[in-house]
Amino acid sequence: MVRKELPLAITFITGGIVILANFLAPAWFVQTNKDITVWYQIVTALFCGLGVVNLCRIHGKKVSQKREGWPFSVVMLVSMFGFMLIALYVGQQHQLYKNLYNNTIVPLNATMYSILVFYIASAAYRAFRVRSAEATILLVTAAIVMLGKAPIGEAVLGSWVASWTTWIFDVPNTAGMRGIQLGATLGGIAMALRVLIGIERAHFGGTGGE
Amino acid sequence: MVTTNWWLWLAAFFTVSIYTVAFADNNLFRFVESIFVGTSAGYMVTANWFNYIKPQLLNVQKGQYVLLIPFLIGLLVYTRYVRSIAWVSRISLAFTLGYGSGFILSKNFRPDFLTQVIATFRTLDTFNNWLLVFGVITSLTYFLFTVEQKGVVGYASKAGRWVMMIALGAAFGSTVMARVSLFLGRVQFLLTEWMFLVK
Repeated sequence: MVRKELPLAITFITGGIVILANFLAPAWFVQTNKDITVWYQIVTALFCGLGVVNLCRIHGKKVSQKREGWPFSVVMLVSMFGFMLIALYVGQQHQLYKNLYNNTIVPLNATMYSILVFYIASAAYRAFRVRSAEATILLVTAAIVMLGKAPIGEAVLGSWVASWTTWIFDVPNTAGMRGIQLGATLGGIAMALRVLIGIERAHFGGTGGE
Repeated sequence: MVTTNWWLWLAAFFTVSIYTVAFADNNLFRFVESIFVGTSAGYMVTANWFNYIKPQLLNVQKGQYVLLIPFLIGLLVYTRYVRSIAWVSRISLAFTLGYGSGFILSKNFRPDFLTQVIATFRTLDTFNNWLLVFGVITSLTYFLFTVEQKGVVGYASKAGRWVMMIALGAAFGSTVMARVSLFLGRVQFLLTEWMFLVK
């Protein structure tokens, strides 16, 4: 009983306070909502440790069983704990931390995302191979936008590419994205209601009990 | 002439090592990839520590003992690793999902729904306004799952799919160009800051 009803009650009360604070705004609810927002930040910040625990479990197992590629798991674990120890020891304002951040996280992030440049053309061809009217529309729009955003597009094809790109973003893109957003928001509202009322319980799965 | 700043050498090493994967998957790439995953995870933890956990722990130290409750709720999620009391972790999930659901139903409702609907009500005096309203309505028709998609609804749904394909094409094109910008940024770093080839 407690295993099922207590979490549902906590969900309902927490969500109820947030909703009442925003719609009715009585003083007590507003203050409680502010406090709960801080609580939420603390709770989600503590959740991050789950990622570390899972990485340690998965990669620790790989290292202990000496499975293929285990040295890379060692590198990963050393980098993770190394970064954490240095950051926690020296603090965020120390020059060592700033150098470490600016010369590891920043270039690694930017470079990792940019390697998509090498694959995106072939990936796009495989994914959107012109097999239907929809795929053709998507590909043609993408081509116009890419040419319109690059200086070479306007230089070779003329100014129409840039003005078409602007029009695509202002009109059909706004319409399509708004439709998608409204659809997703309505879906989100329905799901939020289901969670709040307790109809949706799938997220409690895998933790034993009822 | 190359920089003597070893931090920049480190950044250049990471950049070049990652780009080697463009030729073939190799151990140098996998080595740097592992560093990327490790440092990113480490950064995520330390950022949360410095931005949220540490300041609130200091508040507890100053006498705001009520903040111990969210710390307790947050730590309860780790009970999922102990099979016999794994259900207790539901309390943490219940709290975050309750907050998230309340947020969606109240704060998100205006910007994500009302504002979008209001912005669609335009004076139908230009072709673009007609097209925009037509695009939004037909796109929404595509998400009508309670009505059989045939006849007028079917045609509207198909038109909506086309409008959404244009939007997704534009999003795809923008993503590609954003990645190209990142690539140019890294090349610029190598040529200017590391090798001093371009001033």
